[in-house]
Amino acid sequence: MSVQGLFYAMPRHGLRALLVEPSAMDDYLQRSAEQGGPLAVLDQGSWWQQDMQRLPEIEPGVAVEGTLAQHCWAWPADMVNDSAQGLAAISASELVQRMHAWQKAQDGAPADIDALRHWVRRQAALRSFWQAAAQRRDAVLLYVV
Amino acid sequence: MGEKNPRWALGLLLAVGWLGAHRFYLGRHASAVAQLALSLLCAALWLWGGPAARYAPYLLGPIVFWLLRDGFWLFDYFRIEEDMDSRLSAFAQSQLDEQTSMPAAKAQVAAAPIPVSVAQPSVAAALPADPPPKPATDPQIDKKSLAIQMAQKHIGDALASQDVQTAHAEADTLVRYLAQRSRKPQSDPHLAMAYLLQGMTFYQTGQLDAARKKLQMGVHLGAAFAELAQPVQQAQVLLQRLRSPQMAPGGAALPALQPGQYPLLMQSQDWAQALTWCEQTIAMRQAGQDGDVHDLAQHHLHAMEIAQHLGDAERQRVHGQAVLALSLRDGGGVPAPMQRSALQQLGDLYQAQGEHRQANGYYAQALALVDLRSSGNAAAQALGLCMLLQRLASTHAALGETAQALQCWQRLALYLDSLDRLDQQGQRMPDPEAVSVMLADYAAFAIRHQPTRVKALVQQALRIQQRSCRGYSLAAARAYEVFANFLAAHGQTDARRSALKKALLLVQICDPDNSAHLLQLKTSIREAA
Repeated sequence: MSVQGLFYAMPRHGLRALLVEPSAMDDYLQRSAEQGGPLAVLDQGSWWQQDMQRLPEIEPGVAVEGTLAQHCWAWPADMVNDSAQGLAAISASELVQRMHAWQKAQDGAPADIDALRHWVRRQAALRSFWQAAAQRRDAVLLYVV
Repeated sequence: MGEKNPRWALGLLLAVGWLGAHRFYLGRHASAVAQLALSLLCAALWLWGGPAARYAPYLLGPIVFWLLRDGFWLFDYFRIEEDMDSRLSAFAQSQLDEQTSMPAAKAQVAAAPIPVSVAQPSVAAALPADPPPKPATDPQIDKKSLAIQMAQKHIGDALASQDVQTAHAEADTLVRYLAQRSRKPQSDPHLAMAYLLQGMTFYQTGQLDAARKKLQMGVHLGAAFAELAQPVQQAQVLLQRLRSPQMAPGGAALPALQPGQYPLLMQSQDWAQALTWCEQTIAMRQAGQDGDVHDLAQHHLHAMEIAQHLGDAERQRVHGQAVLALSLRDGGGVPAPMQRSALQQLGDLYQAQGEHRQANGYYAQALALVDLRSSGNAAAQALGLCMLLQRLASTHAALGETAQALQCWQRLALYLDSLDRLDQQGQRMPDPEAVSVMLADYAAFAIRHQPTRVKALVQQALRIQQRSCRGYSLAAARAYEVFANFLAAHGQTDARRSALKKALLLVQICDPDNSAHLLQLKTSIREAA
């Protein structure tokens, strides 16, 4: 069974309540935005771990224990803002270099062009998700199931 | 419509209900004719025979269903009647008792406007005392008038005690009672009055949508009656206000409230108007000389609260002094908690102005009024005492009286320890966040004067927060900040940075909009690095 990583954007004032009562997290994430649930979602599939490793601009979030997820991390709005600024500052060549370096560290072979395209697309989606969350001053959750 | 007998109505329903007899009996002529016509049509089809007779059974279903429904309707009808009858007789009796027992007092009350304005909503006061101008010989009309008077009084009482549910229930009962008694709603001023009363009750309790509907209904029904001109006009002003709430400048469009109801303005945070009316109420109470010191002190305390919101320190001081003067003048008339509240607020006022000596005096007086053995929640009282000790300690510290400040902190810590023990035993601590903030403040004081206690105090504050909210609170952030200052004083840079980062994370989570605090913590972290 593959592991899926989902990023959720949520109102910044609601984060504390979820951290105090993490068992409410799963119910909260099931709701739509109209029902008071998360405002946006980004499914990074099973690539979430690689992406997080290659993007150190995203500061380590607060680990949340007590949910049904395998792992869960939360980033308060201020941290989301800082991370979004860091992500915005990465250039395309820097991204490609990181991909090559990561691939080399894995198996020594150069990254193929398809993997590179896929990585750039995912990174662009992730960056726009964090920037949109930062503009709304939202908090972000990474929910790994 | 005369008084109806429930047995007759039920008998008619069972015997000749299919002819609509029970509805004729209760004056529901239109629906009774419809019921009769339906039954006759069914019988005619049946008797006619031939192909038309096939349709007769299809009409039986609606007729039987209607009769069954009428059974429930009759039950509700007479339940409401009986309930209202018993309440009306009790109300009439109480009115008679009042008139006979204190005629002189009644005359005085009528002369002074104060109790009326406080006890009854403006709507009740604005409506004519005896609304229907028709001759009072008809007992039914007398009953309706009495029902309206009773509802006005009960709604006024409920609103004065801020019991919104009771006020709504009273208005609803009145409308239902009058609606079932009105054969033609368009020609019944009582029903129109009931809708106006219900609409104004909703308006005063902030249910604006419901208020608009009921007021529109009241205006629609009441416009035809000259005797209802005043309440209808009042309702129209309210409706105009409801259509455009922002077009209510000053007091021009505030006819719904009386000065005595300024707490409603406090709820809606209209502080300037609330202060004016609160002071008017106080002036009326003082002029009335009714000797209710408790009530007067409560109004002064409200005035202090309102003045605090307005940032009017002088008014706050004046009303605080008035509470103290009342407690001196009537020795014991003002309850100790009220005196304590006034003293504490006066102390806060002087403390904010940098007049620590005077603040200290007020705090000390307030502290003397705390009685932990008195009835009530002992833990909450202990917390109140701790808050006073905290204030007293800070004024002593500001005056350079370190020994007295330390004494206050140590005494406070003893009480907090006992609260902490109760919390550990599973009894709920009244305000864990306030307790932790007090411990953190003590720790901040102890950095210079009692450094060996700092770590233990911070740990205790964090432990309490961990138990109450997994440590996600501003009190925990404050404890980390204090600990960071302690570490800075001892040159432990890395540990200080770590504590500051924890504080920053907690502020980011618990107070995400406090950018000044966030910036200050980030700057401190950078400096520590």
